[in-house]
Amino acid sequence: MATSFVDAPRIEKSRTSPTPEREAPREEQREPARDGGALLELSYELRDFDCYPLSPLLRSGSPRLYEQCKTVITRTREYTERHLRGRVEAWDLEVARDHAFVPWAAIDGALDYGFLSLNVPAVFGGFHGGPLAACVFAEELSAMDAGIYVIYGAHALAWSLILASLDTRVIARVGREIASGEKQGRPVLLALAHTEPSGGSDVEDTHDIQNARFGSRYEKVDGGYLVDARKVFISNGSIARYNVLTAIGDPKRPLQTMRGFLIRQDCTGFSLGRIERKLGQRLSTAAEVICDSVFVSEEDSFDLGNSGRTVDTTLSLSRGPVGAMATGIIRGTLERTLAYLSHKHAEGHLLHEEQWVRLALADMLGALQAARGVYMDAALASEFWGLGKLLDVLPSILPEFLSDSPALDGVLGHRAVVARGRSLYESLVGDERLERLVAHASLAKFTCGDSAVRVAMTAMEILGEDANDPRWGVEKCMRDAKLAQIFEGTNQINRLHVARGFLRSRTRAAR
Amino acid sequence: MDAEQALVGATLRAFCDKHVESAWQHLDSPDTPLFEPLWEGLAEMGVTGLGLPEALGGLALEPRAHFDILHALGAACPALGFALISHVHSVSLLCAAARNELPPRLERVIADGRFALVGSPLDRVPEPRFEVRMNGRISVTGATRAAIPYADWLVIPMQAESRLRLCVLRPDGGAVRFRSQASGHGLRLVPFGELLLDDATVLEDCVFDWPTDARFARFADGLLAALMTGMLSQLMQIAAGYAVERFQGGKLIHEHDAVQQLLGPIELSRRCLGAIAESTLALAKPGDGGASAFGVELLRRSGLDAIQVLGGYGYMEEYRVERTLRDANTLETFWIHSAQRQRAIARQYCAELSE
Repeated sequence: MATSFVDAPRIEKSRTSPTPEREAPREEQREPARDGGALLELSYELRDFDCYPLSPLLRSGSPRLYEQCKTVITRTREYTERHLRGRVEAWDLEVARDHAFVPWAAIDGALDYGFLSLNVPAVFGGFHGGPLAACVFAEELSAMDAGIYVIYGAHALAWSLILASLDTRVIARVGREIASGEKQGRPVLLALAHTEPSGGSDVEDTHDIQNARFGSRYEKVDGGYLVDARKVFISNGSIARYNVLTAIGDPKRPLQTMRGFLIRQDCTGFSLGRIERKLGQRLSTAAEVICDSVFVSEEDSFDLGNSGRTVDTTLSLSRGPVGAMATGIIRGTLERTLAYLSHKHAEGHLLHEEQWVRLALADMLGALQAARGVYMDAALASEFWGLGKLLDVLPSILPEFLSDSPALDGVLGHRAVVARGRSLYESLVGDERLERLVAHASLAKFTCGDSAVRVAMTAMEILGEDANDPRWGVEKCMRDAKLAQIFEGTNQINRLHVARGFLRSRTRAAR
Repeated sequence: MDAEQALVGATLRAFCDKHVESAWQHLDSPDTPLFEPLWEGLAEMGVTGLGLPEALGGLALEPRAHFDILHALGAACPALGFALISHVHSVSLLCAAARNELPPRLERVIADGRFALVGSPLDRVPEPRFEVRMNGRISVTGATRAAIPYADWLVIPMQAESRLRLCVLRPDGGAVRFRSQASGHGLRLVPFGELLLDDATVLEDCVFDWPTDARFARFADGLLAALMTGMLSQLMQIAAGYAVERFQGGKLIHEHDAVQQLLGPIELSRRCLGAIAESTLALAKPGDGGASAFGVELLRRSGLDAIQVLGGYGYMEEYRVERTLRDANTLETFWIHSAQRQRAIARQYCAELSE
C-alpha cells in the first residue's frame, strides 16, 4: 500500500527513466528506430522539479515548499504510473459509449495517496499543502489525464470556497471528514455548485455579479434554510458527498446575502438533471444540480463573510491550478507526441529529424516552460501574499497536537474566533493585494490555457492522419485543452481581471 | 447562374433541412442505416454525379452551383460532404485516367457505385503507399490509414514500373481488408481505419496511369473550401444566435467587445473563404491546395472562437459547435496538412523566382 502525503518519506531522486516505453499501437510503428536512434522522450530533467522555473530559488528560499512539491510530484507520478497509464484512453472511449461512466477504479486507487486532503490543514488531518502544492499536483496528474485531475480540481475548488469563507467551524468539520474518510477508504468528494443556467463568468466576478442573473435563492426558516437552485456544468455534481452550493437571499444584494450550503445527494428535494456529453475531460462528469425547496440545517450552511473577498480569494486559489492543469496537458501532449515520433518514419528517415517537426517541438517545449513560469508565479504569490500566508501561520496558532482536543470544535465554532480569523486575514491580505492575486492567477489561467490549445493543435498536425487514432492520445489532449479556456471564467473574463488587477496598481505607483 | 442551376443548391438545402437537421445528433458515429438514405437522397438529386462527364450522365454545373452544394453540406453535415468529395474526386480521376472509355465492369457502376479515394484529393501527385508486383498477375501489398465512407470501390494510388498508377479495387475479399476504427475526433460518421492489401489481385483493366492534371486537385480544393465555408456559416449562425439571446453582466453578450472580437473574425473568415472557394472553383486559382490550407486555419480558429462565445454550452455536444471544431481538425490532419502545403507553396514560389 502506498503511503499518503502525510506519511511520505523524503524523496530521493530516482535515476530510472521516468517514461517507460509506450506500447505502440501498430506493427508499423513498433519497428526499431533506424540510424541507431533511441526512443525520443522528454529529457529526465524536464520532468524533474529541479528544472521547473523558479525551483532553484525555491530550494534555497523555502526548503519546506520545495520538499513539499517534490513529495507531491513523486507521489502523483507513482499513482499515475500504477493506476492510470494505459487505461485513461480506454476509459475515455468508454465515456463515448456511456457518458455517465465514472472511473471509480481511479478514484478508489487514489485514496492511498491523500489527494483529497492535499490542501486540508494538518490540524484536521490533511497534508497542509498550499497553492503551490495544488499547482504541481495539477500539472503532474493532468499530464496523464486532465479529466481525472478535474475530479480532484473540482473538489479542491469547493474546498477553496470553504477555506476562503474562513468559517472555522465548517473548515474543521469538512476538513476532518475528508481526511478521515480518505484514511478509511471512503472518498468524501466535494463539488462546487455555483454556475447557473443564465450566469457563468459573471457570477464569478465580484464586479459583474451585481448585474448577473443569479437565480439560486435561499429563505431563512426555523432551524435552517430552504434552498431553491438550479446549477449547471457542475463537475463532480453527480458523485460528490457534498455539493457546496451558493445561493443568495436578496437578488438586489447578491454579494452581501450570498451563503454557502452543504447539500447531500440524499436531501429531500435534491435531484440531478442532465449529465453532460462533453467534448473532452470526459473522465470528470459534469451534471446539472437541482434543489427544489431543499431544507438545509444551520449546521450545514455557512456564511461567506465578506462575500466579495471570499469569491476573490477562491479565484486566487483556483485559477492558478487551472493554469497548471493546462500546463500538464501541454506536457502530456508533448510526451505523447514524442512517443509517436520515436517510431514514425517518413520517406526513409525518422519524422522527428525533419526541420519543421523540430521547430514545432521547440515551440512546445518553450510553451511548457513558459506556462510553468506563470503558474508558479501565481502560486507563489498566493503562498507568500495570499491565503497561503494564513495557512503558513496556522500551525503556530493551532498545532497538530490540538487536533484531538475535545474543546477545539467549541472554540473553532465560536463567532469571535471566526471574526478574529477574518480580521487577521484582512490585515495580512488587503483588498488591493487580493485583486492583484486574482490578476496573477487569471494571467496564469489564460496564458496556460491558450498555450495548451495551441500546442495540442500543433501536435495533431505533426501526427497528421494518425492524429485521429485515439490510441495515441493526442487528439484527446486537444479536446481536453479547450476546456481550460472556458471554465473558471472564460479567458476573456480572466483577461479583464488581469487588466483590472495590474493596471490600477500601475496608476497608483505613478502618482 | 441560371434558375435551373440555382435550383440544385436550393433543393439540396431543403433536403438537408428536412433529412439531415432532424438526425444531426446521431450523425456522429459510423452508422450505415443512417448514411444510406442520405446518400441515396444525394444520388436522387444527381449530386453524386458531380465528377462525371456529361457523356456518362454527369451534371454540368457552374462553379456557383458546386459551391452551393458543398456549402449546404458543410453547414448541415461535413462528414457527408467529406464522403461526397472523396467520391466525386475518385470518379473524376477515374474517368480522366480512362479517357472516358471505361472498361465495361466499371462503366456499369460508374454512375451508381460509391467510390472512395485512398489519400488526399489535394495531392496532385500522391505518394503511393502500396507495392505492386507483376508475376503473371498484378498484385498489391501494403497498408495505410484511410477513410472509406461506405464505398464499394476504392481508388488507390500506387507505383508500378516507376510510374504512378491509379488502381480500382473492391474493399472486400480476403486480400483487401479494412480494419475500421471509429475516429477519435471528427467526421465520426465516416469509418476511418487501416486499409490492408495483402497480395491483392488487381484486374488489368482496372489499372490506369495517374492523371496528374492540376485541375482535379484544384477542383477538390474548391469543393473543400466551399465545404469549410458552409461549416463557418454554421458556426456563425450558432454563435451569433447565442450571442443575441444570452445575458452576461447585465447585457446581451454581443454587446461586449470581448464577444465582438470573437464573432467578427468568424464572419470575416466566412466571407473571405467563400470568395476564395468560388474563385478556386471557377479555376482562377492554382491547384496547390492553397484555398483549403488557408481555409482550414480560419475554420479551426473560428471553431475555437465559436465555442468560446458559447462558453460552457459550447463545450457540450448538444450545441454542435464542438463537433465543427473536431471535424475541422480531422479535415486538417487527414487531407489538408496546411503547414506542409504552405511550405510547398513557398518552395514553388522561390523556385519560380530563382528561374
